[in-house]
Amino acid sequence: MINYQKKKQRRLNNYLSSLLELQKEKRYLLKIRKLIIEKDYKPDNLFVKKVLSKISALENEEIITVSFNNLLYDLFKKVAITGGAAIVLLMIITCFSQGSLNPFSFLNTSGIFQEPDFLSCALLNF
Amino acid sequence: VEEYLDTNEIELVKLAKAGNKLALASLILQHEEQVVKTITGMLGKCPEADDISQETFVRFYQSLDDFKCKSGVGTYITRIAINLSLNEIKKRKRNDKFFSINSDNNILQIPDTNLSQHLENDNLKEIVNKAVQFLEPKYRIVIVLKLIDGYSTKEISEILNIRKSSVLTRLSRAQEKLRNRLKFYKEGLL
Repeated sequence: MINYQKKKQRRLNNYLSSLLELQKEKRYLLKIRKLIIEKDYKPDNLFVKKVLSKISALENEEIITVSFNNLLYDLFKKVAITGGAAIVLLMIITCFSQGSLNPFSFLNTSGIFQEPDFLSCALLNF
Repeated sequence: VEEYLDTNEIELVKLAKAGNKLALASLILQHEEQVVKTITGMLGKCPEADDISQETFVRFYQSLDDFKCKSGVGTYITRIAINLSLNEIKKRKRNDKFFSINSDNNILQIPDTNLSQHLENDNLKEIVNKAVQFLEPKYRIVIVLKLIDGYSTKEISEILNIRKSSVLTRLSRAQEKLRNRLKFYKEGLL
């Protein structure tokens, strides 16, 4: 493989030395390459500081976001527990006062819907 | 930072993962020039290039946990830099379309004044680099990685996740395109 590469390189070198046009072409490409490489690409002196401050800002932002989310979660938990407790209490009171946990018991409307005449009247009017 | 200058990259990455800011600063110091080169090569000298160079390291820091040290840190960071540059190029294209700005994409301006005046080295450098900026992103990437960053064909194929033969084809086409764009300056370049 290495021999093949060497042979290939030698053949290319022979072509190159015999053809002026190719030599010109090579010079041209090398000059372009050189000009591209030569350009200054110097980073800013404060580059590292800037990056680190960006990272710190991002971390602070993350901390604020996380603490805000935790706060929101805590608030939600408190409201949910209070609400849940209120619902359970309401159910117990309803169960004791109405003697049932039927949904109509909460609205105190059980009498109306159990009347067969009311239903038929409603259906006829519809 | 100086105390970490002799520490190897993998060790630095481990320390940075553990939250050591000095190790991170050392990694940034080692790779800042490379990243600035890549991004300036891709986007040209512009204010966005600075921001994107910084953003590259921020992204690197954010993805430290995903970095498994399979490729070198330089390769990994260059991949981020290339992706961010491509995003910026897409953004520019979108903005150009939206605001109907004529970006002269296909014409390299030929100066009206005496040509010899423009053939000094500095001017030629500008002209050649401008010609690089006019290349399509897929050709520009290989030129930047090969000529500016000095990566080998194998490394470029790893960074871009393409075959070595594709890298060579793109490189050859990119050179051909550059030659066409710079034909008016050929005398100065010989």
